Parts: sequence; structure tokens; C-alpha cells
Amino acid sequence: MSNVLSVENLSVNFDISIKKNFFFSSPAALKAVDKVSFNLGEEEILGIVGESGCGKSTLVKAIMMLSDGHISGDIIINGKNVKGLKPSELKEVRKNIQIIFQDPLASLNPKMLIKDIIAEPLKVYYPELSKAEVMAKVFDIMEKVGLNKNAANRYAHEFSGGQCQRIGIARAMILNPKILICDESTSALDVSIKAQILNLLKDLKEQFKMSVLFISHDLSVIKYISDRILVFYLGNLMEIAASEDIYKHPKHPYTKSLISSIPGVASKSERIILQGDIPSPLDLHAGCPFAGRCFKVQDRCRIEKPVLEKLSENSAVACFYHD
Amino acid sequence: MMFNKEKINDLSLDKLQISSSIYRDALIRFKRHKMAMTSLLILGLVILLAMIEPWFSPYAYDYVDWNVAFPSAPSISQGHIFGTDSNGRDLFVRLMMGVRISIIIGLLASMVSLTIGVLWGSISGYLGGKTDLIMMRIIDILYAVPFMFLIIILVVVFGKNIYLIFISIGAISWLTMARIVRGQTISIKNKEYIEAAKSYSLPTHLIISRHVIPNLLSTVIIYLTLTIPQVILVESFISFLGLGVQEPNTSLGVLIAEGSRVIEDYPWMFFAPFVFLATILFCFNFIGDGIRDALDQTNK
Repeated sequence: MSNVLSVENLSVNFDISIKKNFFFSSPAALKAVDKVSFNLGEEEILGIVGESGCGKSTLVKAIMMLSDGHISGDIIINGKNVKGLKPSELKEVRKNIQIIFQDPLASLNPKMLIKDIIAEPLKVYYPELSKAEVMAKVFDIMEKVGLNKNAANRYAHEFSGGQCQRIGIARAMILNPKILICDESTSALDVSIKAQILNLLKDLKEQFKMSVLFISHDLSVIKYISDRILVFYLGNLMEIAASEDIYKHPKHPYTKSLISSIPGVASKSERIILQGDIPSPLDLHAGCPFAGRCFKVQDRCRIEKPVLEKLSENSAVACFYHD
Repeated sequence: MMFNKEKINDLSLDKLQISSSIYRDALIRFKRHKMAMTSLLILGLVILLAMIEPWFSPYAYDYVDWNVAFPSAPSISQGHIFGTDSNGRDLFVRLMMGVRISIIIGLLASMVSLTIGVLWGSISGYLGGKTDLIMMRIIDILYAVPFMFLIIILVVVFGKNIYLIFISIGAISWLTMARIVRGQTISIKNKEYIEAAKSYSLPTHLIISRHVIPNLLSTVIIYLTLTIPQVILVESFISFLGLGVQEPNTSLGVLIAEGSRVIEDYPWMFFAPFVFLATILFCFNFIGDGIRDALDQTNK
């Protein structure tokens, strides 16, 4: 299986220097994503799960080259390293990688008609198309994402969250991208709509033969949709495993505690409840980022940071004492 | 190409493409706004009257009627429906001239303020960083120049001229507009639809013109409706000081200033221009209200 997207040693740092006075500032960097590597295969749905503020969205922004932070490492999309590309080259790359956002309504311009919102990417990439051709394509994609044609001449606020998300999907899919990134795309929807959108994404994935990078904090959603799952904690990759395995045999203590927190998976007495809070990403100690809350913690964990250890073809874990 | 030509013919496009745009919808909503429509009608009549007045009026604006008292009270039999001023000139004719000048100054200066302010503010706010810093410091510097001092210098250098008033009022009124627009732009630029536009590499100037500016228009229009009356008042003030509109030309501000000095003896000289100015200001405010409601399509 060839990879459509490879991320190698990706770090995203934000400069948060505190100005002491006009001349001096104390330099400080916030490591939002720390040396992350993973691949996205063709027609694969890769889930990324982690709690709020662990750097999932920062990772997405970095992949889309929309981040304000300092990016180091490599992002290779369709065999092309996107770092340091000129805007015109970046534009060509972005044609193959599109994104769906978290808040369905906020991702649509309230002053634009739905047809103009959906058509806009198409007009950017194919300015030579006639109006009729653009509209034909817009209606075609609207039908595919399950939108009524009457929606074309209306505004975003006239629609429900689920329909707005369909519009967002239509806008992303109109360019026929090879990779679709869903950044918490279902977390703002209620349960029945969530299921519809997830099924739609699965159908579209089959139909358009694309790969999906699905980001969520919702484990049940991730489990339902993903082929493989990455577990993220404080900007670090903790575990990679196939969707089935990770639920049956979680290896990393953090993954274990996450799985046991899903309602109905573990009984109340078996549930692993983590102690303490997530440490501030500003003053991370040398060892494992999870050491402070881990129930298996040893002295070694506090001194040395575990690297991602490959266990099999498509699983890896970053822990010294994994199962 | 990824298009299927036959599919284009399949779709009955004519039926679906009910052409509808933001501005057409806004027009429909504006027409439903009764106060705004009434104000538009009244303002239109006032402007029309001011425009056609020179064609049918028996008096020129500087003609002194020696047959009546200086000043004479409003009287239809004497031919001066609003009376005459203390120099014996027909007040109605002078009033119409004042309306013309005040409205032209109000509209021109606000257009300058709108154009420069919106462009400057949205570019500065959207680009951010060093560009923002430099553009905003330029505004601070212009703010620091005392307005009256600027006008006096302009008058000294170029002589007394009505265009100087346009330029100088226009030059200061966009500063606040630019600041308001910049603030709005900064709050809009972090919205997800801007992020989405960046994700398909929409050029920056199109992001600003399609996604940023339409979304700050309602704020801009509220401020604009405040600017027009403000500009008319500023012009009156400058003219009152003797730096603006010069005799025998006149403006509503000058007429009110003259009238206020003799309000107890000759009240018509004050109340006639006052009623016209108040009507114009009211109309602009209600029209602004109507436009704002019309542009906000969530308010159906």
C-alpha cells in the first residue's frame, strides 16, 4: 500500500516569548506537536484521537500549511514535500487535500449563497469553466452529499447543523481530493446526525477512492469509522494500531485508560481513572509526557522519553512497560 | 477534465437558477422597511426640490428684494414663502442652496471615508504583523494633526475654496472608520470560513473582498449613517467660523448660525433651516437603519 501522506518527525512550535521590557524578552517555545511520524495509506481512514488541547488541530493546520507556528520535519503529500513550497506550488498540492471543519455553521460564509460557497474552490482551480459547467458540477456534488437542489439559492443560517456539515463536505469534495481531513467534523452534531454524516463520509470514501484523516476526541466515532488509530497525548504519539486491536488489546497505559472510559466498555470498578491534570505544555519535563498521570509509572519514565517502538506491520507504541 | 457534458444537459438548469444575490434580496428587505422607505421618499423630495429650484425660482440666491422689509416675515402675497433674511434675500432660495451644499458635502465626505476607511482597515487587520503596525501608526499620526489647524493652513495656502472643505473633512473622517473596520476584520479573520478559503488557496485580495468585507458591512453602515450627519455638522461649524462656505454662498450650518442670532425677533430665519437640517439628518439615520436590517439576512 503506497502512502498518499507521510509525516516525518513533524514538530510545531509556537514562539511565546514574554516581553520583559522594550529590549529584552525571555525566549520560550510551546511544543504543540513533538516529533510525530505517521503515514496515511491509499483509501485508508486514519483516526486521530486525543483529549482537548493535545495538538490534534495544530497537526492538521500544519499539514494544510495554514499554521502560524514554526514547523520542522517533513510533510509529504503525494510524494511532494510541502515544506518551503511557493504559494503557486502549494495551491496545486492543496487541490488534493481538503478539509472539513468542526463548527458546521462557522465554516460557511453567512453572506454567501450555498451554490457560491460550494462553487468557490472550483472557480479557483478551474477559472476557465463556464457558469453552466460550474453549476452542473455543484448540483452533482450536492446530490452526492444528500443535499436538495433547492438549497443552492439559500444562505447557511437557513440550514441545520447536519445540513451545514453536508455543505462543508460538498465544498471539500468538489475538487475531487485524494485526501480529506475531518477536523472534529462530527463533534458539534447530535447523535443521529453524527451517524448520518459518518456513513456519508464512508460512502464518499468508497465512491471517490480517497483517504481520510479523521480527527476526534470521541472514541466511539473513531472506532466506527477508522481503519487505523493514532493516539495523541500532549503533542506526542502514544500508540498506533489497527482499529480492532486498539479496542481489544490496548498496549499503552494511556490508551487503556481512554478505552476504559467509554461508557459500557468497562464496569465501574474496572474503570481506570487518571489522577492529576494534563501538565502544561510550557514546562514539560524530560521523561515521558504521560509519566505524571500513569498508573504504571517507574523511575525510568521520569528521566527518559520512550520512543515509538514498532511492534508489527501497522502498530507501534511509545512506552517502556507496555503490555 | 472531470465533467460529463451530457449531465449538464440533463439538469434543467433554467428552473433551478433562480438568480438571487445578496444585494437583490437586500433590496427586497429594504422595500419592506416602512420608516426607511418613507425617509427615502422625503429625502428624495428634499433633494429634488433643491435641484430643480434654480429653474423655476424668480430670485437668484444673491438677489436683494428692495420692495420688502429687511428682513420680512414669510408671506405668500409678497412672493417670499419663507420670508427674507436680514439682507433682503429670499430665504427659500438660500435654503435650497444650503441643502445642496450640505448634502453634497455629507455624501462626498462619507464616500471618501467609506472607501479609504474600509480598504485601509480591512487590509491592515487582515494582513496583521508589521503591515498592520505601520498602517495603524500612520492613522495615529494623522489623528494627532489638529483638525482646525489643518484647515487654517489649507485655507492660507490655497485660499478659501469649497473643495478644501470636502478634502479636509474626507481626510479626517476615514480614520475612525479604518479603526472600526480593522477591529471587525481581526475578529472575522479567525473564523473557519476564512480558514476554509485559505485551504483552497483563494487569493488574499479575494478573501478580503468576498469573505471579509461583506461580513463587516453592517457595522460599517451603522457607522456611516452616523458619519453623514456628523460631517454635515462639522461643515456647519467650519462655515460658522468663517473658514468654509463663503458669502454670498451658503449652507444649512451658516443659515442656522445667522438665524440663531436673531431667533427672538425673526424666528423664521432660524426655524426654516433648522427643520430642513433636522429632516435630512433624520432621513439619513432611518435609511441607514433600513440598509443595515436589509443586509442582515438572518433578520428575516
